[in-house]
Order: sequence, then C-alpha cells, then structure tokens
Amino acid sequence: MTALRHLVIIGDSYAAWMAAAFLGHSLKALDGRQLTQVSVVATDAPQSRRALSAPPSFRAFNARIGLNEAQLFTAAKALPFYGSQYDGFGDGTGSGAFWRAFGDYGVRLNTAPFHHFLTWQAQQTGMVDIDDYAPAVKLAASGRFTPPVSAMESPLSGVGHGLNLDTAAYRRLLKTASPMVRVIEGTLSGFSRDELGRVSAIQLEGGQTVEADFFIDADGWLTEQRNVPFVAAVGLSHDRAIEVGALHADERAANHITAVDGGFMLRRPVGGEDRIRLVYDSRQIDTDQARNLLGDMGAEAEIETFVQGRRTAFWQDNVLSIGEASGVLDGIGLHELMFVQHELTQFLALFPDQESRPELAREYNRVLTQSFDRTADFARLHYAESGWSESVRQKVSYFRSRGYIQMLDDETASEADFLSLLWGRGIRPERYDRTIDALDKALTLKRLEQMRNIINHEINRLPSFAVLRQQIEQAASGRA
Amino acid sequence: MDNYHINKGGQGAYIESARGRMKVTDCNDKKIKRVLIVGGGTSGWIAAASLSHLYNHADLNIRLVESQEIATVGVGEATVPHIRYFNARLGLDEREFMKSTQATFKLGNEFRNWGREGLRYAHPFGAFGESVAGVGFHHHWVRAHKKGLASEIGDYALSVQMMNKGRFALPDKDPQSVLSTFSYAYQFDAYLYAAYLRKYSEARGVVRTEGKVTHVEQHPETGDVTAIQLASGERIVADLFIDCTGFHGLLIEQTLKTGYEDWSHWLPNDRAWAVNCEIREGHLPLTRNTAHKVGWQWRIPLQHRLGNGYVHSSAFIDEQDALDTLMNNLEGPTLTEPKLLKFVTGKRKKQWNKNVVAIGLSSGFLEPLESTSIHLIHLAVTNLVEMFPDKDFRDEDRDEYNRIMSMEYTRVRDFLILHYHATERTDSEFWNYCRTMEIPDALKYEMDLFRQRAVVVNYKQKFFLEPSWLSVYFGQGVMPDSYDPLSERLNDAELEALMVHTKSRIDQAVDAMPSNGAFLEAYCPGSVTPEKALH
Repeated sequence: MTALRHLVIIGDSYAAWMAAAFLGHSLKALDGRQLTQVSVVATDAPQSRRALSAPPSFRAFNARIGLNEAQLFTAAKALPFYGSQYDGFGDGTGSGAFWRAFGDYGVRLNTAPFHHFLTWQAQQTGMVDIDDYAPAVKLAASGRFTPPVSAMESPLSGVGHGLNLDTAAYRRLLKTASPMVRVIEGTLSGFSRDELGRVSAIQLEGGQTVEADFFIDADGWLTEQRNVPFVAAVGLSHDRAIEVGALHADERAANHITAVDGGFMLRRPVGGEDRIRLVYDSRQIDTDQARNLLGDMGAEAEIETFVQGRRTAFWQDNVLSIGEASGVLDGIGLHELMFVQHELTQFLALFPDQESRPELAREYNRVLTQSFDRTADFARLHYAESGWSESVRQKVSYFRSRGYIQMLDDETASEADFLSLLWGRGIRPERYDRTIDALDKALTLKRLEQMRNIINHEINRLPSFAVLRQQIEQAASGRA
Repeated sequence: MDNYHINKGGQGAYIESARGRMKVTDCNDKKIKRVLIVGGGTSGWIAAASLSHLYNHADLNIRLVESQEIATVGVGEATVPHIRYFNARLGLDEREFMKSTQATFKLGNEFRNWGREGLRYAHPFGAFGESVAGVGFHHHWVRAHKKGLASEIGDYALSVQMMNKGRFALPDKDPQSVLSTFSYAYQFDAYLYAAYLRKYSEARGVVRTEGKVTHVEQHPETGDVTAIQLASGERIVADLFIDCTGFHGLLIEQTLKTGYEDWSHWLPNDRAWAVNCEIREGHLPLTRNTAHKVGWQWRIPLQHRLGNGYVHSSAFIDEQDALDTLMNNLEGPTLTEPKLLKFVTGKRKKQWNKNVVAIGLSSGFLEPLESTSIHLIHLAVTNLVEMFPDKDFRDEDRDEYNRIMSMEYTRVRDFLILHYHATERTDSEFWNYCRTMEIPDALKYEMDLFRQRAVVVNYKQKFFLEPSWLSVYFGQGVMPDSYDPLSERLNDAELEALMVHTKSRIDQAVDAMPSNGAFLEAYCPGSVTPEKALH
C-alpha cells in the first residue's frame, strides 16, 4: 500500500478551505511530517457573501483543525445560537409558529419516548406547550445564554449552541488554519486523464499544470466537465436567493425563519449585524418582488441562482465532489456546514491510497447520497404535502398515527428535529404510548409540572445573551 | 401555550388549538383489552413478563395458554449482553436471577476449526484496543501485523484474554478504565428462565391456562383470529394474539398461511442433536462452538451441567452419524437422552400478520451460532411495545414492525453466513459448498469493502457491530489488503509501542482478576461446588 503523494483541492469556497484545513491537519503526522502533500488550487470563481449556520457538532470540526470558539467569534464573525423561530409554516390548520432548537424534549418517565407524554397531557388536560419541555427552546426564546453544561443531572446538560458565521470571514480564518497546505492561484482551463481514465492533472490559464493522484472538487468545474450526472431534488422548487445585511433586530441567540408566498426569509445574527436571506421560487416571485421584500437593502444585492439536487456520485475514480459541487439544497434545514463536515469525516474514514479501490468510493457514495436524500427529506417536511417524497409521507403518517418517529439509516436530523418540525407544523399524534396508562395519573401530571418548573428555574437564573453578544462584538471590533 | 378546545363533532372527536388540531382516538373503545399468548416456553414467558410489567393489569388482560404435553425446545441457553438491559427493565435482581436459572457468566463465543482446522479464535463482547491518532485500533493492528510487530488480534482485547485465562470481573463504568472495554451476558437453563419469568408474570396478573388448542376461530370477513378453543372445551377470546407455538406456527402459519422465506441455501443446517452432560473441564466464561466436518457443536456451561448440541445438515450427514459425532465429543457422562430438533432456517414473510404477532421460533429460525435466539425474542417484544396496536390494527404499526424485524433478522443472518463462507476448509462436501456458495449481495458488499480497507459497514439497525465483524474476519483468516493510511501518523516505533503497551495493560488487568469459577462461587454461593458440577 502506497500513500497518496499529492492531493489537490480545487476551489476557493468555504468547503474548499474546510477541506484544506481538515485534511491538512489530519494528514500531518504527529511528528510534523506530511503523509500527503495537500494543495489548494484557489480558483477565481466568485464567492457569494453570505452567512451560514452549523449545529453544536461543528465545534468538534473546528477543534480538530485547532480553532477555538473565541477565534471564530473574532475572526469569522461567529455568534452562538440555540435554534430557530419559525413563522408561517402551518399545514393549513395552525399558524405554523414554532421553535426548533438544539436539544431534546423532556426526560423519559418510563420506557416510552418522552414526547408521548405531550399527547397524553393534551388529551388529559386539554392543554400542552411542547416548548415547556425544551430547555434549548427556552434558552433561545428567553434571550439567555449558558456555556455548555456537563453535569448530567442538570436539565441543561443536553443543550448545546450552534454557530452562525460569515462565510467570507470563515474562509479567511480557515486559510490561516491550513499551514501545511500549498496554495496555487489560477483559473482552470482543462484537465487530463491517465490510461485508466482517472484525472492525472489539471491545467490553469497561462499554461501551468498541476499533477496529483487525487482531486477534491469544491468548485464544481471539474465535476461538471467530467459529466457526472445531476439529479434534481423532486418537490423542492426554490431556485433563487438574495442576501443582505441589517442591524440586529433581536437580542436573542436565535434565527428567524419566516414563510412568504413562494419562499422563505431567514434572518440570522452574525457578528455586528443580522444577515437576511430571501430564498424563493422564481416561478412565483419575480426579481422586483424579491428585491421589494428586502426593502432598501434589496435593491443592489446580487441574486444567486441554483438548482436543488445532487450528483449521482460524489466520488468517482480519483475525484471527490464536496459542498455545492456534490449537491445543493435551499438551506432551510441549516445543513450546509454540517454536510461538508460529514463529507470530510466520511472521506477521511475511507481515505484512499494510490491503488484503485472502487469499494471505498462505493461505500462513500452509499452513505453520502443517502445522507443527502435524508437532508432533502427534512427540507421537504417544511413545505406543502404536494412536494413530499414517499419517505416523508411515511414519516408523517407514522407520527400522526401513533407519535412514532421513524429514524432510518444515515439520517442527518435528530429525533428532536423531527419532533419540533412535525409538531410545529400542526401534525399531532392521534395516540400515545399505552405504557403511560400504567402510571399514576396524578403523579405523572405532578412530575410533568416539576419538569417544567425545573427547566424554568434553571433558565431564569442564566445571564442574558445580549450582554455576551456585546462582549463578543466588542472583542471582535477591538481585534479588527 | 396550546389551549385545546375539545370538539366532539360528527367526524369524531378533535381537540383544537391555534397551533394545531389533534384527533382523539376514543381510547376506551379502541384499546386492546385482551392479549392471548399461545404457547409458553422461553418466548411466551418473555412476552408475558414484559407486557405484564409495562401495562396496567386492569387495562390489559394477559393470558397465556400452554400445554405440558407439548415439549418446548428450550435451546438458546447462551445469550448476548442485551439481556442485561432487558432484565434491568423488568427490575430483576441479578444474583437472584442467576441463582434461579443456574446461570453462569459469558464473555463471548469461542470458535474452533472454523476458518480452517486447528484455528481457534474468540468473538468477545468487547473492544479491541483503543483508537489512536483518530484511527481505529484495528487499522494499526493490521499495519503492525503486516510488519510482524503484532501477535493475534485477541491479545489486544481484555475480554478475549479473560476468556483465554478463564478469569472474570464485573465491568467498570469509568470510560478511562480498561475494565470498561467489555460487557457480558449469561448462559442459563432456558426451562428455568421460562419458569422464573412465569412466576414473575403470574405475580403481575398473567393468567396461565393449561391446555391444548384444538381449534382456531377467525373472523369470516377480515380473517383476523377471534378466539381459540381448548381440548377442555374452553373458548378464549382475545383482541391480540401472540403466537409462541414454536416452529409449528399454529396461528401465524397453520391458520393465517403467512408464508416462510427459506434461507437454507445460505445456511444449510437443518437438524440439531442436543444432550446435557456433566462438566469436567471447569468453568470458563464462554460458549464454545466447534466446527466439525459437517456443521458444528456447542458447549454451554451452566452452574450444574453442560449443554451440548450438534447442529448439522441432513443433506450432508445422516441422523445416526450425527448423533455419534455428538456422543463421541462429550467431556462427561450424559445426564439426559439426546433429543433431535428439526428446523428450516429462515423467517416468516410477515412476523406480524393481521392481529397475530409471531415471537420466537414461530417467527423464524436462525441457528444459535451467535446466541441470538433470546435476543431476537427480546427485540420482538420491545418493538411490539413500541408499535402496540389498537383494535383497529393499523397498517402503520404492522408495516414498521415488520420492516424493523425483517432487517434485524436479515443482518444477523448475513453475519452467520460469514462464519461459513469465510473458510479455507476443503475437507468435506459441506465446507466446499459453504466456501463456494453465492452469498447475499449485502454480505458480499461488506466483505469486499473489508478486504480492501478493513472497514465495517455501519448501519443504524445492525445488531452486530464493528468488533464482532472484526473478530470473525480476523479469526477466520480474512486479512484486508490495506488499512487506513492515517495509521502512518504513527511511526514504526510508536506503532510497536502501542501494541506492546496495549497488550501489557490488558495482561496486568486480567492477571489481577479472580478465576471465573471463584468469582461465580463468591457471587452466587453454591454455584460451582464440585458436587454440583457432577449432578
């Protein structure tokens, strides 16, 4: 077995630099020597200025490349957030106003998943508020903040914050976090193949040739040139986005996702400002209407166009496509950074050598295309039933029938994510788990009340997020 | 806050709020009130114990019908660690449970003569080494092995060394401790286990009726089972029927004609001779499965006796030769008459059909090579509770139950097939067949990937995880062509140090442990006295 000599990452996107930092660190031996030379061919493709969000697991990714949160706050305009407040996502019977946050609901009282107690409580007392049992939602909604709590007995132990950040700033930071990586700047003009059909080199304008034994395409050009088929995501119709900046509108560690006819508006705080992104279907909203929806700021903003879907294979021969080169969704699930992290982690787990081993690519493609399709399903669940896939329909019907949340192989959303969304959209279980009937009714109601009180009590003693945000932003502007 | 208004209109009852509408099932009408478990034995009493523990006796009437005239199979005496969680859920006391069932500790299965004659390996309930530099230990081991810097993989698993040296201690919960790297299960007398759970169930309101079923009544339109009649003339009506009648499948097959998926072309064994004998070779914390020219023989040590059985294929060996093989390979005098079991490996096309849920041998059969029989019963009961139906028996509940159970059976099946297929044996028609047969696509996929890169596929629903697959692959001589290149983050000296250090840390921990026999005797006094071993 011979290790790869040279791995080339193509692109200048956040995904390209995530790959550079991650692989640069991972392919460095403990004594500092390199196993494989990693280079980035930083193409001059325009990079949109936009914010992105990541779940709490993103911290592990940054820790792996040697970045701590303080650095992300100061250099990547990152801000913590606990979840998203949705508005207008009802199924026709309700307002569709709800929260989805990074944490579980309640604590098991018997073998039944906790959320069965919500249905039970509603049927017993005629009232229930799912958010009463979600410390992460309470944190977000009340505008408070806590560093991660590790004490298992605390109701806050399962709660973590995600991060919103500015991609342009994050890219700059990632470049500094990729010390072992060689950077080549240029514009792609062609590529050549070896006798086995594998890519052996890429050519840049001006005649430079970059040879490598493996390529990661985070730009999309090489994937497109090699005609890797693209399949559109059925039922997901948004194809345009405009993003603008605005003053902070909210003191809370939370995003806002508001449905509009033909699209949605995503507002998220990053360092120094809120980023507002309108994502829409160009067949329902024209350019002028879109700009109008964003007010004065919308007049000049660039319009991004995209088609939702994915490549049929993400790894073919010796080329891996990542980020938008592998697939595009409208971002309602806040999946982008998580997905690139997933791609890179899986790639590393199946890291190639110089031999041709199609089994590795086959396994990578099985896991990643399935993960992508699950992520697309999670997005579909936000929208009208007419766009649901068969697997979404099945999930909804199981939940409606008995509150069962079907978790399949390679699911990228958590059970709590599905619960928030299903419940929030007004889909309510008709039945609860019968084992609850074996519990004493009065005692169970009492225990639920205690649970609510403990959560409230814990949340109410926490400091407000506004103070922390001020500190973060002052520190960042002091640095800048 | 959702304030619900309860609205009982013409289309049924709803409770409504600004944020959603909830249909209220008229609980009392639709709730299942009567469950009838047909057949006792291990599966019947596991089902009875779980249901009676979880549901309100006043709400759910649970009856069990069994006949002493029908012998239960009672194999599956060896288990996997999940049984401990199952027992804990029932609130069983471990010492009392072990005492009542003549149980011993089990750290894994030992396999002899599988990959080739003379080869021995362990499949432990535990991990091999620890990940280092972000790379799973086994990749480092493959690399070290290729360089001649490592001995066999079992030397780097605490549980394997405990098995090899016959030691035992309880695991430690502290993840820093090397004692946290293993788990354990039990070996026990399945008849006593059933009896123990019977006592447990009856104390929780389960009503047992002795009798043979003479007739099954079905609804003339839906075909649902409505009642059974006993030889005594008694007629028992129920809403939900749990078929624990064994291979026969009285309700699921004889009545509902559900159909069976036959897997015997992949797992050709269809017979087992079973016999108990005295223990002569001491108490090791393991089940031993020794391959013969056709099939294999189990050795399961309990406190008071040894369970033995010879699983074989009637297509490759006749009954008498099979019996002779077993009787010639016993370590002590027999305590029972040999008993012949006949089976067809496979599973029921639907394990839940109409209002009948088949649990245990009525739902399918996988040979006890990896001690999964009782686990699959526990799993069935757990899933039934999760999908517990109402009288309207919705497709959603049944379909999801059948999907999950079918996937579990299929994935266990593939793991079993691996044991037969990954072999160099050429000494019999049987092994030639197994070595060269076509295997299921999913298993081929797994094996191809492993052979390339030592990677084990990770599915959400997969009972046997990476360490199990590694045990069998390495133990049966399937060596991967390559390992994770990131293992090169360690230089050769570091790699060698990792092997040496891991091994010595394990050896030290194992040497400090008591023998399994001494531990068992201290934990369950009277369990391994010499007198008992001989009776």
